[in-house]
Amino acid sequence: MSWFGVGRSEEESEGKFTDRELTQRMVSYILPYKKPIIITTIIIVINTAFSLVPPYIIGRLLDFAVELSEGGTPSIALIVTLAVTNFVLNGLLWYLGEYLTRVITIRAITKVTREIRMDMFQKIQNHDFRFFDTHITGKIMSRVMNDTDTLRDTLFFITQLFGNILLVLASAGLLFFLNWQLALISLALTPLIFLLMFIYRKFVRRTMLNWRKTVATVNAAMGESISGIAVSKSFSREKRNSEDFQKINQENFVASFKRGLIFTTLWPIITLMQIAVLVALLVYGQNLVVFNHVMEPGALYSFTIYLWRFFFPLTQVANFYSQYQAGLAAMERIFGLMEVESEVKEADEPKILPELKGEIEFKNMDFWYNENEPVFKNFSLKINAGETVAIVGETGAGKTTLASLLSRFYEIKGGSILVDGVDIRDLQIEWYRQQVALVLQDSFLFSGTIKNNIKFGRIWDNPTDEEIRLAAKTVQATEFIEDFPDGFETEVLERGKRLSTGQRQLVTFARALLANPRILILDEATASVDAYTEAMIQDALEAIMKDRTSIVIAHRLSTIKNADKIIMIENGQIVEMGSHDELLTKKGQYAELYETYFKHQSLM
Amino acid sequence: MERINSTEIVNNGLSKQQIEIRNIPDSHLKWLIQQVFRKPAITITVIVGTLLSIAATMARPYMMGELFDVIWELYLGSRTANIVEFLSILDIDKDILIYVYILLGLAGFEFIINITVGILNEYIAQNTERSIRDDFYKSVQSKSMAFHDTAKVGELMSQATFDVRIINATVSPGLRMITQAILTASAAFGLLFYYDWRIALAVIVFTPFYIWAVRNYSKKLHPLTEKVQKQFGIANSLLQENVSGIRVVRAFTAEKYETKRFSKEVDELRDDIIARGERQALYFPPLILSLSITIALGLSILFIATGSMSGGEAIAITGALFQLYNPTYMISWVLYLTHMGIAGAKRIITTMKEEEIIVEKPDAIKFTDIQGRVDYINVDFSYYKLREKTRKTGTEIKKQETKEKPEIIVRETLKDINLTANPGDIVAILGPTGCGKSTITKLLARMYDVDSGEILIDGKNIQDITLESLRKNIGVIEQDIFLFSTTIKENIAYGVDRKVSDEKIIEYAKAAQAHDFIMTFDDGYDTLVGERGVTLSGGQKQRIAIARAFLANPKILILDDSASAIDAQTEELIQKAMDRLLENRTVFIITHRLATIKRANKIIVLRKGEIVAQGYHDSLLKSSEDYRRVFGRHIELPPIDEAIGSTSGGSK
Ligand SMILES: Nc1ncnc2c1ncn2[C@@H]1O[C@H](COP(=O)(O)OP(=O)(O)OP(=O)(O)O)[C@@H](O)[C@H]1O
Ligand SMILES: Nc1ncnc2c1ncn2[C@@H]1O[C@H](COP(=O)(O)OP(=O)(O)OP(=O)(O)O)[C@@H](O)[C@H]1O
Ligand SMILES: [Mg+2]
Ligand SMILES: [Mg+2]
Repeated sequence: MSWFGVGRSEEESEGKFTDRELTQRMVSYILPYKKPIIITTIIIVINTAFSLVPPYIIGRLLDFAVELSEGGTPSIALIVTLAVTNFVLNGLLWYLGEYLTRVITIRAITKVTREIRMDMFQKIQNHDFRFFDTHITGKIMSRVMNDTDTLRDTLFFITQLFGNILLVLASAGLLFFLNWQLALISLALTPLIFLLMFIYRKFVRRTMLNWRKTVATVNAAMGESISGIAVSKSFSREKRNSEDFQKINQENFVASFKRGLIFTTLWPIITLMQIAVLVALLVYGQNLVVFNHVMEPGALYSFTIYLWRFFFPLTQVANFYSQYQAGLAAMERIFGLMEVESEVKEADEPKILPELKGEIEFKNMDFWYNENEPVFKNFSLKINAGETVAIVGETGAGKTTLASLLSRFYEIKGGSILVDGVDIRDLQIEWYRQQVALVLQDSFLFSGTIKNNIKFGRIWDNPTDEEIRLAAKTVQATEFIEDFPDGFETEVLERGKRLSTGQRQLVTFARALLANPRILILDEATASVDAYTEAMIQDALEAIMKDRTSIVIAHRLSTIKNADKIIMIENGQIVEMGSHDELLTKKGQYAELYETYFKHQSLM
Repeated sequence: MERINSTEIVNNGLSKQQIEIRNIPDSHLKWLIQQVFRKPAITITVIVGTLLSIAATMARPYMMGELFDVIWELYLGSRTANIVEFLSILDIDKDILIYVYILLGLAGFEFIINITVGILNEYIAQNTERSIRDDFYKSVQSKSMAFHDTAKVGELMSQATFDVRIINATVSPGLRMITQAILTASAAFGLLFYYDWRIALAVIVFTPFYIWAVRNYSKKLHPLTEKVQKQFGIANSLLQENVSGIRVVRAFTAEKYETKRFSKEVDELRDDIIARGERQALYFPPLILSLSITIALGLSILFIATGSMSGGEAIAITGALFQLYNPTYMISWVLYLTHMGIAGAKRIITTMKEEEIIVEKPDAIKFTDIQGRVDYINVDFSYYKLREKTRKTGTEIKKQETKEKPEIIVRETLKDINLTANPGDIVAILGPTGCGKSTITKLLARMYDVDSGEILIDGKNIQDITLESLRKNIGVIEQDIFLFSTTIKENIAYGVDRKVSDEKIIEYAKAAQAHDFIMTFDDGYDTLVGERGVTLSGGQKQRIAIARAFLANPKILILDDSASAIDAQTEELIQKAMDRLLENRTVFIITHRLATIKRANKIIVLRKGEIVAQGYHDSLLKSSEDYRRVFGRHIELPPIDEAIGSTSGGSK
């Protein structure tokens, strides 16, 4: 097994929807485009009707010419008229129609895929974090970008479908009109082709789905190995990575090959069937012509030409079925991504409070990520408005989790969280999150300038440059930022690779401050910053934290000594609570922790 | 790679990789063709097979023509004879029967050939896709950090999946189509000449016009195709960032903003695709063809009437003329596919050809059994070049307005670094945020190459050592922990060769204080962690990384702020275990925590990329203001001139 692209991402969407549901959804995307489809259908029919004329004309012309050669005067005018008619119908009008259908079709298809893509994106924006914990970015991306792209083929067939059905009917009618006996022979093919498609259908669906999955895995593997390149390099794993990747790529090769086989073998089989019918037709036709004289050779010839006009839409219609299966496979993945039930849901009538004071209460809260590994059990804690509360505890105690829950990143499993006495589940999520800002333990920056990254903290209402500068200044970031030749306009690259870890943290800190929240959560916000800068930040923060509720999580105890309340948690329970001095005199666990910390931080 | 002869390499002083990179042809089309001919035997079989299958297909109208000649003859004959007798519907003329067999035989032949060729062609297409992707992956892996710093993950992903896939599509129907188009057209012309040179000429007269139209189409289509693929990459990388940063997006309720950003790119992609499609629809050689066919038709009728052509011939000619439609449309598709392939090739090659690699000298020595002495001698380094590059690719990738800066201030990241670490030394590197601590350590493992000066290990310039043996001897616990989305076990064993016993993994996990929390998970060591390790807490991740680094057993160890997310008590436990683990290693410790500093043999204090003080704790505390700053204000330091040891500081 190779190490990447595996993740916890189980393909849960498989078999989640019935074909009917998938079809309904697909139809709902296509329905707004019924006008283009109708127009396409009409053009296809008209165009084909026009193109039906020339073979007839040619057949007639030839008969006519042969007769002339046996003694007669050729009427040049007639010949020219017929030829020009042929050109206009077969060339010009046909070209025009073709042009129109193509343009209309490409527009419709592209718009549909664009819409699906956007819908997926929007849905993803609302998925809860449980989803992102268990799904790998590369696989999510593959669905949004690649699977929608494969849908294009199916959509194309759909736009052509009605036109082709009409053509099948019309050309069948015409064949009957020309000669019902020959027509019957030609029709014999239809059930065969449909049977073939029916058999193929299952393979198509399965190979398609497999193929899409391997594509997603390749994408994920690629993405993850690029993101983790520094680690790979420092362990000299490049060669082995390549080997591992080759395996994943090989799986994609096999799946893709299988899929290719299905479509490449289909056409020769159909062609063979068509020729068989053609031969049967000729055998019978020659009999009619030569022995029974019920038909002229020219008419027979015309008939064979019309036969292909019948075959073409027929195979298209039949092929639609397998294409449609391929589309359903893509759809399954697309809707599988869209229809993830988010645990974090907005209330039916979400509330917006006129003003948030910032009183927080956890009431008998239960929470776990995995059922058997409870993080919080019956957890209760009250934080008064405007207080600064520090949370300490050993790693993995649940500090970050607490912050996430307060931000409604995950849904609690029991009890409640009240803010100003209102259950946060009743609040409008967007509004509520705007009242809470947090500095995440992992500093994440977007590619773009430093300014834009800070601005992101309050992107919803366009903060001024002044505010951005002020936020940067508060966290002592101005100095290093202005040291860059481009200052605030410095491009930080993806994930902020251009900055040192501490610098990155400062920018995320500034971003949170810019949000000007009622509740500020600092999760190890200065863990990578040097002590001197940290101390300066603390001074600056004092004023900011005064009139809002703040939750500070830190392992560096020096930064939390001044908190109003220090809460020590262990195994999801509060084990001690009080001010720094109170807890020290209590000589309990906090005192012990502080002792150790202090020993570490002291110099002797 | 087969095309490089490894014995040549030593001579011209270039590394194997450099040669590989330089061997990639500049012409995208040429490269593309090279790729398609990776398995020349099969590719040629496909081409030959396609020729045969076309021959069979072409023979059909000919046979039909002959057949109709016979039918006509019989028909005219029987009509004049005016025989009226009862005939069974199964009656068939012997002459006609022969043609029936021929037609059936041809169909069978065509079927077999088409299936075989189809499978082989599919194989080539898939194989091309696979090989290019493998190469691409290898190439990306081998690029330097300077490349990866500026690369956009989503962009590279889109090249590896979307663009490579497109090349597959170019090959799979493309290869056969192009053969088919050329052959069908030439055969049709051949037939025309064979039947009647006058008609053939009438058609040929139009070719210059036709060729002009095709070329015009091709020229207009290319930039549009390129744009689509580029835009796809842009949308892809935007999506990649959005998903990776979803926590930030959510925390700051930027969903609407992000949606707007994404929809802007997706809309542009849509418009680009439509523009390309509209251009494609405008392809008008078929129109030219129908004009020439019309004239040819008129002529043949004239010829029949004047007796210089038979009806059967006319049918064959019409058949041949109509055969020209197919290649005409095929050319439009082939061009479309080829342009997509070339655009993909261009994007892939541009990445593969970037010579951003850490060059391994052809005569580099393999490092074994090292002692661990490290010397930095007058080392200068700046990320400046990198920044330059960002600017360039930045504009390349997006229309990001190039604000030409009048002057660029070259800011050195590291200036004149001199330091020595003896085997077994613990060197602490201190200094404010962004002063260059991590950078110093990155240079040691050649993540970047120094601008001037040199770094020696055991007296050997690290540039003379093979990269692998160098890096295998240096272990890093990086500042930003990256875990892979696999089991905890595999993450810990990441740095060692495939076979490592579970006991060993557990032993090191215990030393890193990771064992206990791992055991609280249902699946223990087989617990899957999320991407980058998101499902673990900060301190848990760090401890896994500590175990990972120690298990690799490097001689030189770099701990870059590796306890920043760990509480004091756990850290103390790790410290105890480390005392044993650090033995006999040269260790560089970067930390903002002080306990570790005390254990260092040597302390280096940096400020803005320069070493401003170097020495022991006691003396530095007395002499260096920069060193004192490291402790912030939470610890009361003795006045600068006071003796050490009189106060232990703190508030207690
Ligand atoms: N997304 C997640 N999915 C599953 N389990 C998780 C997830 N995030 C955290 N955990 C687990 O929940 C527990 C609490 O994690 P949390 O991140 O809250 O710890 P923490 O107190 O912040 O620790 P640290 O000080 O190391 O940051 C840990 O055992 C961790 O492995
Ligand atoms: N990949 C990069 N490209 C360009 N500039 C960089 C890159 N990495 C770091 N820098 C710059 O080089 C300088 C030194 O960075 P470095 O990461 O060495 O700092 P550091 O001392 O480790 O800081 P910290 O304590 O925050 O980790 C910083 O100014 C930073 O902005
Ligand atoms: Mg945490
Ligand atoms: Mg650093």
